Amino acid sequence: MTTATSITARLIEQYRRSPLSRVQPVFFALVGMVILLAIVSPRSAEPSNLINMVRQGGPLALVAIGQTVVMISGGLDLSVGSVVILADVMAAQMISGDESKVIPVVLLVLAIGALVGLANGVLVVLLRVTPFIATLGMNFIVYGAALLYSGGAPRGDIPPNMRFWGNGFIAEVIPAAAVVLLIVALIAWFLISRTVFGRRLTAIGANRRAAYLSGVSVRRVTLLAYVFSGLMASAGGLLLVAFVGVGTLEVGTDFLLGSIAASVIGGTPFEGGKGTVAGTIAGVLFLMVLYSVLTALALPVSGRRIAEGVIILVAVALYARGRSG
Amino acid sequence: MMPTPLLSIENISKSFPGVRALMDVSFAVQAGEVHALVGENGAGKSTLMKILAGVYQPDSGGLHWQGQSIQLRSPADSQRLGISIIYQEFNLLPDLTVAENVLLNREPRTRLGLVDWRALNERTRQLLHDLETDIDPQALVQDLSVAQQQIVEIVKALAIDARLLIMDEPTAALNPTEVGHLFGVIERLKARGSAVIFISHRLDEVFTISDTVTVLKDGQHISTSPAADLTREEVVRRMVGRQLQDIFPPRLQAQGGTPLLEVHGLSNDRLRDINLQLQAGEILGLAGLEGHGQRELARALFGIEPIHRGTVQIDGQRVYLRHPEDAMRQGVAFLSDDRKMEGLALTLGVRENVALPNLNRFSRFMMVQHEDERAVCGQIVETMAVKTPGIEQPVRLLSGGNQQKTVLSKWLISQPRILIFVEPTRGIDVGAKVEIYRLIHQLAHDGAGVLMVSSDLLELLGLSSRVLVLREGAIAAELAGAAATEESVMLAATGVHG
Repeated sequence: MTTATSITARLIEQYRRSPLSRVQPVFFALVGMVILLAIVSPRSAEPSNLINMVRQGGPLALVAIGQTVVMISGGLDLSVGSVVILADVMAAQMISGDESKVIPVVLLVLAIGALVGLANGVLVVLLRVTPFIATLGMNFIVYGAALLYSGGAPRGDIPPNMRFWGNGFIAEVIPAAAVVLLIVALIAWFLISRTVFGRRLTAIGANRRAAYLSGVSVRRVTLLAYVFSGLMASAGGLLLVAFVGVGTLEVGTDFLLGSIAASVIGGTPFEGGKGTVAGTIAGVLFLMVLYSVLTALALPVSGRRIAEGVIILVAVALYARGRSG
Repeated sequence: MMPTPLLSIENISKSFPGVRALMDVSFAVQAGEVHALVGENGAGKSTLMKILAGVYQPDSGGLHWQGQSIQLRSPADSQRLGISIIYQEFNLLPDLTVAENVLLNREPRTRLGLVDWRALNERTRQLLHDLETDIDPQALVQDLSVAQQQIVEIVKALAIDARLLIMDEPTAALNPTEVGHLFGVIERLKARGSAVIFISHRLDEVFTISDTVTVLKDGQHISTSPAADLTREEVVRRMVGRQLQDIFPPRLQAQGGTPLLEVHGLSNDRLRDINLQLQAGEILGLAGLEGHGQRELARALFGIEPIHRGTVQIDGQRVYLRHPEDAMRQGVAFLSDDRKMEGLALTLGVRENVALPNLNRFSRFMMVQHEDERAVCGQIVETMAVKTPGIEQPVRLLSGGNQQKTVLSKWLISQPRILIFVEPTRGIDVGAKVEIYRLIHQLAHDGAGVLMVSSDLLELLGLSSRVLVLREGAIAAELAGAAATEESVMLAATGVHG
């Protein structure tokens, strides 16, 4: 028994010293999930299918990057699901197939997303409403606005020049959505790990009091984090409608839960203070592969929903354990 | 032969990452005795207390309760045996009455299962009466004085039939009359056969009340002896392990010129009409009983607490301090007494913590220049002799002394001219303490002005050029040179003339 313990101890020690230990667990989980997919459905695990998942995961990845930024500061944004929907139905209805309207409408929708984020930020920072309640309330308001705007039945469609960014391919192999994601991810990575803003954001999440006493303008930084999340959620909605082609009122919960799950699985704890863009994107891909596995198992929708919920909760709980232990 | 002790502590050791908090500590506590536990900050008193509370489990060693081996895995285990701890921060619910607090979760019930209010108040009155106090069981806790709240805590412990009471600095916020009253209560506890572990920095009190004195130093048990066999000087020598003159550098004098900091008529909810001047090269000590405004004054001067009336001038210019940011811009640095909550982001690395207040210095166009950052942080950490495997080490893994040096590093990069230190040596070992004393001295010697708050009078008097004593939020006395003694400070702080 003693030898077994000492061998385990030595293995753990070796792992700690190896470069492998610096790889976040989410990447191992992602690889494991792909292997599982290859076992249950070899066809789904072909490269072309995997690339397709990047395309499908693009909208969620944008939303999750925004969520990650808020979560690093120790906050939470529950309004993202509705912002996705609002952006989605507004874009479809205002553009209505007219290619010339794409650019102004995209800019308008992004501005509205940022404005919702600003409202969240004001509630949290100036009125001191806890993020959970502030953004949950905002979720209802924005969803109501989307219902009101669409009259309960989304109209309009997206012209080919915009659809290309959602479901087209560059040089016939690279999904255009992946390029959008890559650009946004690089900007977000730069923001979090290279700028003064990112450092202050992390410090606020790690210890708000200490950050304030070190001269950090906690209010300004927190406000900006919510604005960024609102902006990213509306960008996610735009990429979604470009992928689907028509508006939808149905996907709010998927984006809300998905963005939080991807962030947490990707290594951003609920209490904040750390988090990476790469981890979050890996978390999104993990979820996409998980959905494929569940589809390949041919579960009925109800069973798939339950399995999804359970697996996400287990993954999040495992992370919470790993941190405190 | 000695009777079987109530509690014996046998070869207890406990380590935390980076610190050995207790090493092979053994001693015994007898029923019916007051056992003082003394030692400097960082000697291991609080770790030992938390082990007895069931909060921490020792790495090795054991505990015996009336001769039986016991294990305390949770605070509930410890309570069940009859160990009760009265922390410096009380665990009372301010909106409830005394009786509701005393019998919380063990309220007497009527036959219908409802709370029997008459019995509740009557039982509490009886317990209070046993201690010969006149607190009304139906008074709200928030309306009581600190001393009365302390007695409520004790009564609460008696209600669960505590056999061993551990009191952590119970007199820190009390005036001499209240201390006398508390000691009366402790005498009656003794007479009932309970044991009391009394943790205090005030040696006079230790000698007044205790039967036995145990000294801890740097996590090691130094001695356990009858109080009657000891002198004050001997206890200090055992606590510190060296002579006093080796600890404090020579006293500094102000350098003159325009005062660095000048405060006129400063008032807020906790402070009344404060006037003070701080010169370059001077260490100004703020003394007083706990809760009399020293801490609040230090915080107001860093923009953490509001200033309702009065003016603050720095270098003769009027300044407005609304946020720490404002104070930092004027060259003020602030060392909080709560290192873990306010000084450091524990999960982040040394570099990130040290860089935080200096990010503007390391950045161009809002981008952090990593080479500059690493170079400056690495250098200050080296100058300050922070013991860490590297600047990326998470600060939570450093010992208390090295954490404190990390906080100092983060402030010294910008070469502040006014330094506000609140309890600069709380929770750190003697070696690191002496280094911090030297550093504070050096900073003042090089022309900074230092404002220091410390509840450790030895330290405050050893370092300060001048001492201001606060009482009830106002300055009660200014003492300098030979006039500043422990006695004169305590007299001014308590308002007793004699």
